[in-house]
Amino acid sequence: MSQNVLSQISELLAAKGYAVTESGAGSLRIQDTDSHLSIAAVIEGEIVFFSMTCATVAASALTPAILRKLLDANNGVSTSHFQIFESGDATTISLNNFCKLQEMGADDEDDILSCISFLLADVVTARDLLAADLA
Amino acid sequence: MGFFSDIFNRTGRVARGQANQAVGALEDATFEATVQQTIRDMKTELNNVVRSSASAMSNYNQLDSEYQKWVRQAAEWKARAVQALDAGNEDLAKKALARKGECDKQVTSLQSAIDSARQASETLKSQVGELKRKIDDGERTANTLIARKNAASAQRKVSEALAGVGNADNAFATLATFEKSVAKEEATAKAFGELASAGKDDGLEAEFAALQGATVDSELEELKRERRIGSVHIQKELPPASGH
Repeated sequence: MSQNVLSQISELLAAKGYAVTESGAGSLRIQDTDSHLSIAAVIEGEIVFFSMTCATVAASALTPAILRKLLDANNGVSTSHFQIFESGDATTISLNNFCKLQEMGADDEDDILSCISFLLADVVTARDLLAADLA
Repeated sequence: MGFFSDIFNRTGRVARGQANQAVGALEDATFEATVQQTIRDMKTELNNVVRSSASAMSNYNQLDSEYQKWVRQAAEWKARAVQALDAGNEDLAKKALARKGECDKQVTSLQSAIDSARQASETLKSQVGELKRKIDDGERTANTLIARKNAASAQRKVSEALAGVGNADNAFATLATFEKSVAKEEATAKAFGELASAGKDDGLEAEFAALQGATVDSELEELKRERRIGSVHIQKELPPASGH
């Protein structure tokens, strides 16, 4: 079922002008062809999880002030959520979103496209929010 | 609450036999199957209760039918006793009342059995309703549990994928590059615009613009003239005032 869903999602996004490649089992790399922004998607059962890497910084660069901005309810990022991933000395700040699929009908297609649109919109807000701190 | 404890007992049973990481994937795969099996077990239990309920209802219906038969017969013997008495045949009336007494005994002996059967039937019906509600709750909870497990698993995979990405998919850097390229395109477009207008004779353009203005002015004068002529014609055609 996952492979079938993966194909359907790929076709949907390709029809909407995104460049889509399979990046692993149950995983897609979705690229906006204008901005070249990339989104990783993982399908697990009926869940599609979307993630966009904002920036990878030294772990020490994540000050309490920055973390407060990431968690602040009024930070302007309202349709996606921040997560940080630790990898050695580096920390990746990502924006994430997910949806639960039903029968891959019109509602599911709208959910998928909305998740991606939200991420593409939120990343601009996120950049404005954090750029000065991470420069 | 029972559903949760049941799920986690089963998950615990699965987990107990799978202590090392090699079987972790098996545990993941088993989770959904375990949850679904719990729902199937509950549905089997429901079927059993429904069968028991149907059996109890059938038992009650049989007893009730028997009970009603004896009540009916008692009433019939009473009517016959009255009929015999009215006919002046007391012996026959006594015999009829004796038969009525036998029927009343049956009615009395069946009364407690039928009450028990009715109560058992009502209890089972109530249990069926309760079990159906629990199954609905269980299915909702199971779906939520499975979705949460899948979301956590997907997030873990993203985390693993991001660990290997490093700085390759840095959206902030990509945005900066994109904005630079857009700014460059805008600057180029502006430069082309300036180049395109660089060869134009501004004085000549102004003269043509004035000429255009003059044409509009003359058209306006012409229109005013026409309107004045029209107004004179209309006044000429109006009838004289009546004096009222």
